[in-house]
Amino acid sequence: MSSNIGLPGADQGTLQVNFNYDWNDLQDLRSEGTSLSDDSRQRETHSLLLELGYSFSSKFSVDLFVPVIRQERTIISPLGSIDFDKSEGLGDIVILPKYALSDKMIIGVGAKIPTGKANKTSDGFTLNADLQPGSGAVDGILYFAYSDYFNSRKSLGYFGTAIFRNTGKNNSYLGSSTYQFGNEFQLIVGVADRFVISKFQVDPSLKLRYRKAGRDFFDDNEFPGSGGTFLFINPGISMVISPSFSWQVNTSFPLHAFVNETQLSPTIQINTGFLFRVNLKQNKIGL
Amino acid sequence: MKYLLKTTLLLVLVGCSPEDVPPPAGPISGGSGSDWLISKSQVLDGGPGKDGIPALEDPEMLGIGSAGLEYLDDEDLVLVYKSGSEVKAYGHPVLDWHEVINDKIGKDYVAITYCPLTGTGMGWGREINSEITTFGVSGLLYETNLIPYDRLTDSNWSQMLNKCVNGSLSGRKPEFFNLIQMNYGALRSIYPKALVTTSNTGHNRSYNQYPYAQYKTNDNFLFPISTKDQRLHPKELVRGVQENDSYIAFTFPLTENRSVVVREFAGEEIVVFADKSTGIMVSFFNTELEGTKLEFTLMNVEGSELILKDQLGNRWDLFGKAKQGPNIGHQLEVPYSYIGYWFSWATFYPGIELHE
Repeated sequence: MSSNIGLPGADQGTLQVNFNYDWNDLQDLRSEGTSLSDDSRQRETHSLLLELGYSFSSKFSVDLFVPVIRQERTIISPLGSIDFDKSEGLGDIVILPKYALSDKMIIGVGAKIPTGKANKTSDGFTLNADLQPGSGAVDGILYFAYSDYFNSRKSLGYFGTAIFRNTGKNNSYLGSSTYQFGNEFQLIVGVADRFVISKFQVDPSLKLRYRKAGRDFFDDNEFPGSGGTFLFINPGISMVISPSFSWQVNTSFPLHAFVNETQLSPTIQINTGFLFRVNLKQNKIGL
Repeated sequence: MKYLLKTTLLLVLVGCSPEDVPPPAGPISGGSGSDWLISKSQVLDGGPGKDGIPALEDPEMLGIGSAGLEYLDDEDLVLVYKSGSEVKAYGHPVLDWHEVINDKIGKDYVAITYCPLTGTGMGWGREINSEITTFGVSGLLYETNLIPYDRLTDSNWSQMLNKCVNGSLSGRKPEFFNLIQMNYGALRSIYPKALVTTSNTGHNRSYNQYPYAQYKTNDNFLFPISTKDQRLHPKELVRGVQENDSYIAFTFPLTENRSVVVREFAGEEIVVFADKSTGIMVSFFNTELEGTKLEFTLMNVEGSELILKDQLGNRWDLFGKAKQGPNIGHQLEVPYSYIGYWFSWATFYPGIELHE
């Protein structure tokens, strides 16, 4: 979810509303760096993501990220029967105040607040931590973004985003135990260009996303089968429908995955939605 | 194409409530009902889900030295069952990934159940209500111990409680088959004609890689347990014995390699043989033969299934059967007992007596 955090910079008084649907599919059962070619397990996360951003000045803005999450686990038994479990609800809200160091660099320091439930049950049994919509913990978030363009082609931009999530501890996991997801670091670099096709501005982009997740901790002990290192390629496209309104779709495919012990690893992620901008101070809509 | 279709479907669903996505059938624990003989709040979802750890059915078993057994090192533990002259061995490295193996050994239909989190292995009869069935892995844990389910009635069974704890068979105990745990090196010496589970299981798994990191030796638990007993390291292997409401755990000898312990337990005399180098520890109830209480002494024959001798001249094997001597064929009574991590016996049976 962290990779979705962070709206672009905007003029003072601008409210940005970004509404997305995100589907993250994990079907690749891996043992460390090796795919086990096993089709019996699937984990899916469907999310509706509402991100609100308001620029108090040309330098200072705040993003609020509100997810509604549905976690699914599907198992196909060796005999062909299907076992399905799910949880759904409000996820953990993220607040990210940001400061523009220049017109190219933005830094942010925020927090993830445990608004999502972390004790959901299925058939009366508490689901384990990674099937919960919330984490039950406060996380700290550091954010850095840089963007610029090539002089040779002004419409061709390049950018980089680094996000570090320092995870907190859920002190009431399964009643009286503790659970802490591993710290997470993501580095995203990419390029985006702009074309005009039949009156519409179309912005294709291509990103590389590196993600490193540390091991989870259960009662302060390392939890096997958690954490790993991943590299994704993310092609995407954005279309400007009106000066205030754009639609985007982004995809993510793994190029490399190394998991600790054995885990399901991401297969594909698709994110699509709309970005709406309005300048409240000037009382006009603009992009 | 698979992803294209799925993606198209999902894009159509954008804007719908997540609840609009139709789920396939089947809750977490099958259709066994909500009544449990154990505290349901202590039954936890282990993570992989029902059948997420796939039980094996009638697995390929080949003789020692065959291709497909390279995953086993001499130090790896195996669970051994003997029926008549047929000996079958099930490697922990395969059981770590599958936990239940449904097999037929001689005339016995047996489910080999092994919980890698408690280190406990035992055999259960697969005949229920006069029908042969199989067991699967429910994905649930009680006191961090395996809960298999039977595929005839979808009832859930606690491995270490050795009984059905949920479903139409609640309260029923399975037929218990005594398995002998030993390392593969010992198996090769003692039972060179044994058949062993190969890595050709029909599932692509890294059998030469232990799936739980340092769990076997560290002092961590993956799920909460109700009682922690500090008398031993939690992962020390002990042989626990149950008789009526009495429980006792035996450790491997600290100094000598082989030992035999004879002591009173639950009003009976119990005999425990242990061999540290092979990982073998077995237990029997003593008996009288021809009006004589047997007195056992060690047989120091390496690589033999014969482990004890008595004053009558009998030679006894690992399964408690007289293989030589005047009472050849006599079977000593084997108590309900098996090897497991110390913490598992201590949490299932708080205050268990410890014989060190």
